[in-house]
Amino acid sequence: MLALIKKDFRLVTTGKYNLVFILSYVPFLLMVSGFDSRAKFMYLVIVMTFAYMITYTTFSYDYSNKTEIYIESLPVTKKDIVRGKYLFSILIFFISVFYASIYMGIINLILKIDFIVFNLSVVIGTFIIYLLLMGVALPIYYKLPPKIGNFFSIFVYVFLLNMLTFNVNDLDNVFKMGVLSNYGGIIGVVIGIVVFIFSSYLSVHIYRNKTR
Amino acid sequence: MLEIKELSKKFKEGFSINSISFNLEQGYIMGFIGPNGAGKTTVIKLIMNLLKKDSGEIKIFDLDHIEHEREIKNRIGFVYDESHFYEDFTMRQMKSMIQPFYTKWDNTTFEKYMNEFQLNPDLKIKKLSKGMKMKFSLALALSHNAELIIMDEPTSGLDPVFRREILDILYNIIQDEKVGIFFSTHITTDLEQIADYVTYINDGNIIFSLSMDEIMEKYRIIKGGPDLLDENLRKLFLGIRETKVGFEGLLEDIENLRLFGKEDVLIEKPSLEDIMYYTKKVN
Amino acid sequence: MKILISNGSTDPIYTQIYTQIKASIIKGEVEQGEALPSIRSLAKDLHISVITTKRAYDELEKEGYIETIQGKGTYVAIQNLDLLKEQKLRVIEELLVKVVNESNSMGLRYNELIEMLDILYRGE
Repeated sequence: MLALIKKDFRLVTTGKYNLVFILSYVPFLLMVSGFDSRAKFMYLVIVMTFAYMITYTTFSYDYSNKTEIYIESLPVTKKDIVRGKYLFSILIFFISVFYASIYMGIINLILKIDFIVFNLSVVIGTFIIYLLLMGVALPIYYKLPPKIGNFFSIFVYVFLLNMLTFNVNDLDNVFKMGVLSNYGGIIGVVIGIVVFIFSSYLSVHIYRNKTR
Repeated sequence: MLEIKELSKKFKEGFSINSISFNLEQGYIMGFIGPNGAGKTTVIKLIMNLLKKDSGEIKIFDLDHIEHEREIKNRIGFVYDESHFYEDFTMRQMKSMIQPFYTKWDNTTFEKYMNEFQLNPDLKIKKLSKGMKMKFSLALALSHNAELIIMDEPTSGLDPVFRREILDILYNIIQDEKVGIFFSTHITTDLEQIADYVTYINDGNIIFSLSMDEIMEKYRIIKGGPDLLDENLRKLFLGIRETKVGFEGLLEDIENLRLFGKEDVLIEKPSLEDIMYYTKKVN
Repeated sequence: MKILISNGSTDPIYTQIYTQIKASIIKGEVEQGEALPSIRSLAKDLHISVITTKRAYDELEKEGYIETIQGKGTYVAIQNLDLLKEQKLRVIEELLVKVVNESNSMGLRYNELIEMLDILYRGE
């Protein structure tokens, strides 16, 4: 499984287009949001969309290059392949967190502003939403043809980017919801993980029964 | 080394693999022939567990192919007919991706083959010709000490020169008698030069699985004048082609040759293509 | 050693190989004790199946023309000329027994038999 994660990692870091994307994504979002103080939850949006996009890219690369069948012929089971993908998406989340923090940290220093909210509860809240989102999105990618997967993705991006314009108080309230914030959010995380794991079993089942 | 027992699979569209069986022992090359759509690729996918079988047993290296899937695939070198690589990657990058999957990867061997095939590892895969991609596939498949090489139509779409080169490479591989090679093709002339065994599939059924020797001793092509055949003689043939100037037919049992007695006929060894052509006519 | 396979001939390929190697050995084109190509490298050189070459070698070995030493290879059998002689003598002896039996059964006398042999031997 480690080899599978390494493979996905290489997929998204090789090539100049990938690197350009990684470098320019945060500035791009900042521009989109207009450096607005309303973009308090910019952090959440960066992390979520970045992690989502990277994970999704691994699917689209495998599809467009028709490599799925080759990967399946390597010493891995279909279960390994799916689980590798799920683990990869978690790994990417944490990398996103790191990526966003560093990047925003630099920008805050340069522009001498401090307009992004970045504390533990935000990270945990983002994590919970991410687990739920991926728990739904991943089986969809395995089940439906990529065109429909694309459509779903666009829907996700639009929703997430819109969060840039959400009323700050709304988001605050969401995070303060009992389930998410009690005990430092641990209940929410547990629920998120359960959903995520259940989703992985579902995806394994779907993938195993795919006929090509 | 490769044992298939009563393997079956039914597809929704009506095509099915019908309880097929055959074996390959180590040290030999088996060619898997059949017309397009006969089920060659399907069977290979079933062996590699890329498709789920309905019933039957598949054992590789004496291990069940599902229970020991990872271990088996670690010892199999697999070559497809189309390129299933990341087009934007260089061959070197592709290799680096594949390498960690195999426990017995041998980089020296890989470089040796890349050299032999005259492939520059820093070329992007999308820039390669079909033949070069095939050679690259082979280089990958041969660089992790694989004991069984499985290939799906490795020579289709390649010009005859390339095909000969690939065959030469296979010859060299099989000098090691611990290795076995199984490859499907509809280009039977390639097989005649190299195969030890031939398994012929048509419409999801195995027509025969025999050694090349047995095949060449079992079948004969008879050619004779147009008026030579009567009902009795016609029945002897598996398939006949009759024209105004003569007939040509495939005889399955060499014993029947004597029934032609002193007639003025040509008796020839059939090619695999002849066998495929005439047996198809029967069905 | 020269081996040429004819694809057009209806002689099985293993027979062609067997015949040609045997001839080479008898003619002395290959020395006693000389190493022969392995069945696999011969198969590769001739572009045929290793089963075929193995069969030819098995036949030759059965008749004592060659021998295989585990782990070392296949060699032209030493002393096989003697073996050949012995075999041929045995064949002649068996044929002579038949001749004697036939002569006895028809009452042909020893002198007449020798006369016949004389004529045939000197070749008419």
